[in-house]
Amino acid sequence: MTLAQAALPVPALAPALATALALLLPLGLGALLTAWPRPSLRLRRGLGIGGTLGLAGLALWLLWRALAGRPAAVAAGGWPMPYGIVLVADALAALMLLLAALLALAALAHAAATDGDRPARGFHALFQFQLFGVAGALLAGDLFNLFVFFEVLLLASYGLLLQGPRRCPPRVALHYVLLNLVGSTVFLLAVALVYAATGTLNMSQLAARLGALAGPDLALAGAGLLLLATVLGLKAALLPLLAWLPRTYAAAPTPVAALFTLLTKVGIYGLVRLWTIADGTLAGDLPKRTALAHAGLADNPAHPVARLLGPLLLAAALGTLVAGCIGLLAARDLRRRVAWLVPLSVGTTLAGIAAGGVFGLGAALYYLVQSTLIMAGLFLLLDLLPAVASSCTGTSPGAPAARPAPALGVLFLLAAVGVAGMPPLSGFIGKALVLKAVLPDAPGGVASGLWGWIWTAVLGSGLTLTLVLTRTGIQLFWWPRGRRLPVQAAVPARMLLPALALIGAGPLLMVCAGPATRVTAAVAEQARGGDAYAAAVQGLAADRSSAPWPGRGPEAGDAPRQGQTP
Amino acid sequence: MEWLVAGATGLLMGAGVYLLLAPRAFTVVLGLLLLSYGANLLVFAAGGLTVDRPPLAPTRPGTTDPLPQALVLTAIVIGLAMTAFALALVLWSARRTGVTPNADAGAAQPPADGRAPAADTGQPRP
Repeated sequence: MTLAQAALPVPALAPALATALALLLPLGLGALLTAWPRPSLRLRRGLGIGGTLGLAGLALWLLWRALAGRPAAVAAGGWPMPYGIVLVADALAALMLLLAALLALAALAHAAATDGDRPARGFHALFQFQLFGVAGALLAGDLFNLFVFFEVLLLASYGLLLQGPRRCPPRVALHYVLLNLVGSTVFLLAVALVYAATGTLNMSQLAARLGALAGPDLALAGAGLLLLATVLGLKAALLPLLAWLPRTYAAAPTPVAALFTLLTKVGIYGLVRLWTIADGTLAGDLPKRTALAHAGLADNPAHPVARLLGPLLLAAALGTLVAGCIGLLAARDLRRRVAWLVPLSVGTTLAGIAAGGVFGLGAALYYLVQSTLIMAGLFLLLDLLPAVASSCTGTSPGAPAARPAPALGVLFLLAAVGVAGMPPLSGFIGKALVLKAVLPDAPGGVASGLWGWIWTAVLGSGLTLTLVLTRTGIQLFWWPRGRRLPVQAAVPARMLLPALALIGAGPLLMVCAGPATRVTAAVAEQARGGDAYAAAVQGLAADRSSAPWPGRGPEAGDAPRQGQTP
Repeated sequence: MEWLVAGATGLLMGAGVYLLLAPRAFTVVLGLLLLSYGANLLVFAAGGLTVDRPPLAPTRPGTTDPLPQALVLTAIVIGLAMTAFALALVLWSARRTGVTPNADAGAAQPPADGRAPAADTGQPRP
């Protein structure tokens, strides 16, 4: 790969440029929209949607490249590895980026169609900054920049939460902000501990050095990584740390809530990365890799940190599923009910990741993509219903001002079937794949009798979902013959289209289940293999082999840092 | 030196957590401030404590690891911005609900449906 780069400098520059552009595009647009004195609404919408389309195109190209075995990587500013900012667009990051861009596109289109962006002047600028934070967190190649981009993402999300027509109650915003500020502090502590023990923050280098640690350094690094897992669990809304989610999502403006469904998935992405760091696969260590890639997280023979992390994550995933079911049954407010769907999707995804090895990761990714799209579509759909559109904090169903249009009922049915995992839509395929991947006889499935628990939790959550969504559908769309209410005015197509596009992901991913699962399986193979990732990062270092410090390059990177005392 | 830095970090963190658990919004922000100081100190100490040595990029014997210093600068800037934002939010929230950020949580508890609290908190509502 380095030879090819030396021979053909210009084409080799393109992926690096594309990776950097995936950050620069939203950042530049956000800055432009902030600095421009009085852009018209049309211009703001055009810039926002155009920029997001561009981001989707970049993500698609990066994904295609990464799946062809050539993940793009760039060291910003040409600084060498332990110092510079390294961005890596491997298949997992590119897939998540594509998902983010598609979701943002639908949310922006919805905001433009329903005038949701009119009252808030900074909506489009903040939205682009949010995308910048998400793209940065996905592409960041080291832990500190993961922290920085998480801060960008959170700051933009605070702004988006507080803006807009659906001003959320101050206490909800305050809780969300303060909780995440504490989370950020813990993130920083984790980064400091990891750096103190290993002397690097680059993910690939870190994975290589962790294996050689012992004694107090190992304890420090382990504490740091587990703290990091806690913070990422907060972002992903795992069991002990999920109470903030339903209130916040229910209070957010609709397009923002649709985008927020992605933020928990960024937390899951971080956990997957953390896992590949902890068991050393991200270092691209060839002989170890093949054995590890097929081992489930729960019974991983690898590093002590990974051994500890696996059962913890699995327990958190199952607990999240149970808590999500209870919350879902208890929620009377319609928006909060939809918000409770998010932890259920997180729990199912993480159960597949934690217990299923590389096949589980592939299945979980397929499930993640379709469930995120459909849930965001459900949020958009709620905004179109007459019962919900009129109120600020959402109403309990049953007291709408008009009968919903029949088209909305059909969309709701599609979304409900997709979310609940009923056949034949994609939710069923995703859940079936996850359940199959955790079976003991599947490669990488859990060996112990644990699979029964996972099956019970996942199937139980599916039953609860069916129950609750049926009840919601009856309350919203079924009317006794005697009651006379005006039928809602016809919903214009431009309002219906974003929700339709997102919910249509269910049937689409059902029809294209074969290619889609092949793509997610390839993504999982690359993410758990770690080889391509490590090769991309080390290709960067090889470009600058004139780097002047001995013992700090990736070639000598296997040794932990020595001699910290003065 | 190590004991001093470790003690200071621990003290800041302890005080921060204590303040964080207080039922007053302003005190919570103060606690966050102390917590972020503690975290910054820990990041700074993560590169090892070396006295009177220049922080130079090629880490040879006789220089300090420069990376934690660069990290802590970034962290301080982010911490400052976040604290400013949290303060502004607390003030905004206080103005919206008509409760001073220093009031006890008992008084600051609005009813569950998000309405403004009753007038007996003694604060004028804007």
